[in-house]
Amino acid sequence: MSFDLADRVTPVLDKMQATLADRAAIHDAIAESVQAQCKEYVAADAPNRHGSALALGANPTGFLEGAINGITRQADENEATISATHPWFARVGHDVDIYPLPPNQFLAIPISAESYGIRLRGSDLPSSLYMFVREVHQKQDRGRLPSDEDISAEVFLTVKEQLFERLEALDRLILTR
Amino acid sequence: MNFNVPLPWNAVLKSIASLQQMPTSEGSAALSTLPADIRKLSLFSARTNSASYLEHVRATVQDYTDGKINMATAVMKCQEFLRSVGYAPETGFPGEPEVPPAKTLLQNLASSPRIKLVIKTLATRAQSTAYLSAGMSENSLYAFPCWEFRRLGFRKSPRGESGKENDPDWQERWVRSGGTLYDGRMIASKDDDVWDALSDSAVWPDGLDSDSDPVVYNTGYGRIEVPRRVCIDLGVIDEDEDVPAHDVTLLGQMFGDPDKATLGQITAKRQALLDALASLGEAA
Repeated sequence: MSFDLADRVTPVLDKMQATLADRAAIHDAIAESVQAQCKEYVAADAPNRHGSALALGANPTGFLEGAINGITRQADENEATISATHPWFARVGHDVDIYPLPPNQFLAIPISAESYGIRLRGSDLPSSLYMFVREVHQKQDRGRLPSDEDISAEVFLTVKEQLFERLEALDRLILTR
Repeated sequence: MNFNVPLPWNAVLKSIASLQQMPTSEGSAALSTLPADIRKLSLFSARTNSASYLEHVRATVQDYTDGKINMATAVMKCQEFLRSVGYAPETGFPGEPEVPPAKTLLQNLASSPRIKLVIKTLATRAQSTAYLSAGMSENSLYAFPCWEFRRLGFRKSPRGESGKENDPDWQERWVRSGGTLYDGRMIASKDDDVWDALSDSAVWPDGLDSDSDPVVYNTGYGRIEVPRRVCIDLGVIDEDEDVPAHDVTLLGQMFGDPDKATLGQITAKRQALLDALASLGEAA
């Protein structure tokens, strides 16, 4: 999946091009901060996200942990990238429609603790533990990641800290002269 | 900045690909006696003496961590493979030395609980290895000097709720492993010994002797980086910690050799940074 963020920092960094010899380091700091923010956010939100499993009296499958562990970062001197490719995040950007893969005509939805997290195909479970539907429509859920505003605020805070660190280093250097 | 491009999980995939197959007919207890460094670099699973199945597991873990399949599909793929090669819980793999009959669900390679445990443990380890190693760069160690050990996954029966003496909750285990609690939070420097102690099988029978997550099977706990400002506020590190070394890095980035920078160059750079801060304030 991908998600858009109104980017108000890049123009500022562009203006600072001459000042910052190592722009990659600032991008790296931004990527790491936003990655930590996203992981923290999803982990804090996790207790609210197991309604289906709990309603059935089932153990959660660990899907959400995989999503948290799967938030990755990368940075170079051109950009900072946060990657959230886990299917949990698909609904952040848009509605999601799920259809059976041909030649199947139905999706088998578990309706008991016993069948929760187990595919009917290949299992020994009776089909009565599943509900059969032709498609599932899931509405967009932007709340699965921090808001654009919160991510922007984290980016600005990080850049500000990076600039202050450099200023303070310069001030300490001046004191030695 | 670009927040749109999904990345291949190079580091994660590299971590999975680097695992060496180690078919074995041994059980979990015997495997736990292997040196930790061998276990870390090996892709094996108790009583699994088929190299082709291990290769299938590796590919399945890769698809799972890549988000291509969910756990239910991963289980189904492994079960289909085991059926196709004629695996039987009573005798093992055809053509391979026999293993003692599986007496429990977890000894049966084809059972859902067993496959889930293997896939989840390997996937978490690969993702964690990539995440933790990225956090050991010079910049990262300064900006995020600590990890917090915290709940990432919900559990119906969390550790420590059984009331048994040999089932301490994570906070108690943290303290007994040499960790300190900060406002009740399990936070320590990335190089703290507590990270090894938590999974030390000589102290904790369920420990995986792992320097990445998970530290025990089936835990919902894992590590997340903690920003420097939070570490200082909680008293985990001092405000001045690592500052001189970080100054050397920053000044080196700005001037190459700071000793050769003139006062005029330093002042000009300082003014440029102040201008940048002003621009940042306007944009915010």
